[in-house]
Amino acid sequence: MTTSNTPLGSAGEPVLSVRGLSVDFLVNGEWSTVVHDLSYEVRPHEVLAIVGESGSGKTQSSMALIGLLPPSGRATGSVKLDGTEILGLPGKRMSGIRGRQVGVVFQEPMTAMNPVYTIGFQICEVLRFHLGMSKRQARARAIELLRLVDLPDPELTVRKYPHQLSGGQLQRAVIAQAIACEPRLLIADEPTTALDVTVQAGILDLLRSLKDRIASSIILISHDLGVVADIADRVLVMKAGRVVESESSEQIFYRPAQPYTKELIAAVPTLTATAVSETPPAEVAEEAAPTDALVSARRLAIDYGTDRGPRFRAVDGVDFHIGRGEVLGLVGESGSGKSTIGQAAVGLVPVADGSLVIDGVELAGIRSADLKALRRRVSIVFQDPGSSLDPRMQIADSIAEPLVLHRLAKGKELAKRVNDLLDQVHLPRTMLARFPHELSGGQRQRVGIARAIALEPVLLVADEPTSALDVSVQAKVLEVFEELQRQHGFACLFISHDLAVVERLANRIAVMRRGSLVEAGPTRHLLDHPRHQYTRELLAAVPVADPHEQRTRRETRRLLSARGTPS
Amino acid sequence: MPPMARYILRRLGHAVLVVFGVSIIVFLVMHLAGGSPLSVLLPPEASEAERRQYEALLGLDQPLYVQYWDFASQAVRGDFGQSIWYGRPAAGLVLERLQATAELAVSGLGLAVLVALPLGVLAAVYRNRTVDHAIGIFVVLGQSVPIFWLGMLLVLQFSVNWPLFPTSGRDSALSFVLPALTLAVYSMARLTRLTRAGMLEVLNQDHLRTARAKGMPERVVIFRHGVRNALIPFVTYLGLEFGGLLGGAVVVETVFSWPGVGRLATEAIFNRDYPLVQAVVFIVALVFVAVNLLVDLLYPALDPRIRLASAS
Amino acid sequence: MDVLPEAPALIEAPVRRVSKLRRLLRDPSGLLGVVVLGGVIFLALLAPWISPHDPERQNLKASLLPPAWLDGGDSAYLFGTDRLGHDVLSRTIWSARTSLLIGFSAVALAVLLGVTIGVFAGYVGGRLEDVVLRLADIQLAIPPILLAIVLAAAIGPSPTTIILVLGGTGWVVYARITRGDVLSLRDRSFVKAAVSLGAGHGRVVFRHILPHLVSPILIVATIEISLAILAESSLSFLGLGIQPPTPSWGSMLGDGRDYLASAWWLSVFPGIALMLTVLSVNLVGNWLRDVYDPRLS
Repeated sequence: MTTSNTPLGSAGEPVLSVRGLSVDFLVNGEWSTVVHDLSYEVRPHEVLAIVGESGSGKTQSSMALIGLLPPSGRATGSVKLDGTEILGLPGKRMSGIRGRQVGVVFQEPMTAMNPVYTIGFQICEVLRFHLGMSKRQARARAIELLRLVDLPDPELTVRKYPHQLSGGQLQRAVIAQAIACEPRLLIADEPTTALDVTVQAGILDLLRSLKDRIASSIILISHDLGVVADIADRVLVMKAGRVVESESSEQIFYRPAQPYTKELIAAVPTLTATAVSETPPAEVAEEAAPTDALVSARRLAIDYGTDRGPRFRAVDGVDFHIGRGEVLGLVGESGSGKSTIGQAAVGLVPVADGSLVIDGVELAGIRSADLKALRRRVSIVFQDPGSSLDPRMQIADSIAEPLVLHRLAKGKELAKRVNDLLDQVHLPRTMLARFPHELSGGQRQRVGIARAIALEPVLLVADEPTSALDVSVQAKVLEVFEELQRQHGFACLFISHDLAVVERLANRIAVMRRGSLVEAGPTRHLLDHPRHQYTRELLAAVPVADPHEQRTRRETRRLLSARGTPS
Repeated sequence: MPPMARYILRRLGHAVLVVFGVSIIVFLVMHLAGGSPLSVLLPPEASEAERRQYEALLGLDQPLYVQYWDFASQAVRGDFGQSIWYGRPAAGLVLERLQATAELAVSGLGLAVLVALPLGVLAAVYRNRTVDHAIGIFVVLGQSVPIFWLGMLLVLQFSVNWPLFPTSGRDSALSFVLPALTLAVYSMARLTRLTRAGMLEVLNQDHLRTARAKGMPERVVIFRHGVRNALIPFVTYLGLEFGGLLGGAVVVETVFSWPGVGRLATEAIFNRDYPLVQAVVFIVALVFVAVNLLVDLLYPALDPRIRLASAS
Repeated sequence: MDVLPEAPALIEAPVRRVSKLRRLLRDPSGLLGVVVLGGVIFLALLAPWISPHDPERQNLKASLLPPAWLDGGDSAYLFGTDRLGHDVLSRTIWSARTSLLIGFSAVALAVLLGVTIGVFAGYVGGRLEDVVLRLADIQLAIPPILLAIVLAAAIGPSPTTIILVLGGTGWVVYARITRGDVLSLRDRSFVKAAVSLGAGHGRVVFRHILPHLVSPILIVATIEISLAILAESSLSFLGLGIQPPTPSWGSMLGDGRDYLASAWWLSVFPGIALMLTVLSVNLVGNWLRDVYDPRLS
């Protein structure tokens, strides 16, 4: 399948024209193809989003355009930039294209810049090499660029080193560097994936405005359909190295033709909160903790940091409660302290001050014997499926571990229980003898869940259990989770940065920011009538996989920030 | 306190602590050695009374911590007592010989760096290619050859068979060549390996891909962005390698009869000249600590992350 | 290869459990190392039966004979004899025993000490960790060979002394590696998960941490064996290690040094044996690194 031939808003000769692009990698002495016969065009001022899950070949196909494949990779086909063939150009001539005519922004801003040179030096380097500017000219232009990407105090920032900027600021600096020579095409590879939603929104706004200001086309590589809906003119959906569908953004989101596209869109958990209402704050205050709550925290404070580094108060003065069988969604951005609370709930970090009572047991100052007893009744599922299972243990042993630890079963009985748990998370029994690296991310996360429910806990802490997974996998894991919660009726502290996921699962939501609780309330109520300014901003910043809805949200966000945020 | 001041103070504190620890070890080892030089000073047929008298004279009848205190307070003033063999202050003897060893160690290290840095970078850039394999063979041979044997072979070939260099001594610039080369070989091999590993790590970092993506030519990518970052751990290896060279000097100096502290130490041990042994070990350790302190202080110049506070 | 229903990694190599042996056959230098080291170990074990003479028997009538194939050589003494009429070949073979025994034992001791200290430092943290780190700095500040010389002289030179000294000073490298790995493992989710499920310290350390240390320690230990053998031979060369008449390559070379110009065979044969042994250990170490830590190969 190739690009549609209907002009879509943007006319003129294509900036980039890709024909029959294939990418192969040499694995164990054999070439294996990861991108098959890819063709598309990018027109002037157009944002083309290439969408796909991990393994779709979206990144490799884009790196291949400008010869940035790793040494074990090779690309064939044709890539024309402004009508000139650039695929497979020799090093020197390709150098003149990269950075000059094609700029690249990568996913992880914290490591994208060289830590030993200043931001200014690194931007000037591009200007001096490609445009032959003098030191002075380059510096002036670098400051101008930093201003263009809305970095505060450009004269000061130009002298700073990467580690002195925050992730969002750094990504802006990386963008400034990529557009320094006003390239014809900007390739942005998951430019906001490593960032918090509120920061992400700012970067997307910047990209959108840049496309007009510097007359550049953009290829946006993303797994996040919300981000795509926010910015893309056209969307190319990839799966397993092939194009599934390539249409205008409208078509893809509202009239997808291919079953895979439909599935993909259906799998995205969508926040139904209608942006931000201007309704007056609801009168219902968060009710006091009922006396029969399973978990109750009062003025809870937790310190974080090891005995090596400086300790700091990660959580301070937090009150919340979870009833029996209730799912509390704990939401916040990175550094809000939400994960710290989760770790404290299973006794991995101590309570520094205040009180945290779980099932009648006070965790502040708990003795280790009592903690061990409590651990029979609470358990945790971690975020990273790559490291939550011991790589040297077979799956069966991992799942059996809690049962063995508490001497609940052995021999045949143990094997039966393990089989049973595997069935409950819908994994085939052939998995038992495998090692974690032989499983996919979603499978590993199911094993983690099976291990966590082995002891029939009264409380399950789920710390971002699906945020490292592709959306379609996430959807399945969440299904399993909901089913188990219904069957077993455990209470759950569900920690997530993703409001849409929380909306789906939680009875109540608590929002955290910088170690404090901003507000809490029943899910529907909180999402429809957020009282706190931060909650509103957060809601407005969440991108949804719906271009029209997304436009409305953008407008709301603009209004919200115009009103001024005290932060 | 500004981060730099705190960093420097902490490094200084560590250095002082290490010197203190070294002094305890040196003292204890000497004590273990029967520390008493009596066996050397007194004839075997000396009476018990004479022995006591001497012990009291030398303070050996005091409790251990008092003896340590005496040792330490004198050491701080640079006084390690009299060499039994030479009958002169031990510290002075060591310092006289230190220059000869320093010449050897510094030039050995210099030679090692001159060879290791380019070879290591080359091996990393051409990873798994013929150049890399060839350098790998050089590295493993260099790490396997016993340096005293290498020294002997060099003497056999270049002093005996072809009399180009003197077999021993420290009389001319020529006499310097073989010992420095011998001493450098092991460090050359090890530093090459470490440079290669460090460089491979840098080559895998994201910012190198960024440098390529912005069109920097390969030369700039490798040197300005790659080598510059690989230098940071390299400097630490240099400091540690200096210790290895001081140790290697003990052997090399014996092979080439080089009048440095290494040979002084072995002689002192054979002569049971304990104050001199003590002085050698302590002063060599001091030199090592000083060199590594220097490296620590050089670090901020190379790495802005240490020099400047971070964002959060 | 198993087909994963969800999100196959892009270019993940197929999960093929290639046998270590087959990988060895594909790596010529590793193979060479294993063969040579195997040969040296074989000779060391069989020394009493294959060496032509008693290595400690003097024969002053046959002093300083050149190798058998040279003029004046005696076919009974293939590699010639030294000043006291010892058979160089026999002594070279017997020395393998001394060197390997000391090399392996010293490293075993250092690993035991270092891993124990490192696990405690990394796992317990706090003051204990500070103390261990400073001790390591102190240990590093004194060049090991210098300390070994002093200690060997202090306690009296014997194989046991050398093992104790090299083992006792060699702990630092293992303690550092172990501490670092324990710190990073402690932060991994699977260790946290085990703790949260109620696993005690013992189980966490022995079941979830130590098994991960085996390969990094094995790689370093192998390379360190070669260093220990070199250190032992240096000490013996200086006359502070293995004492005559016990055969050791180092002391043979120390004796040979005085006859460098007149009787080269005293220095060349033991030197080659020593170098081949160290080389083979290093090659095996490199091969282990390639197998277990392919990042650096």
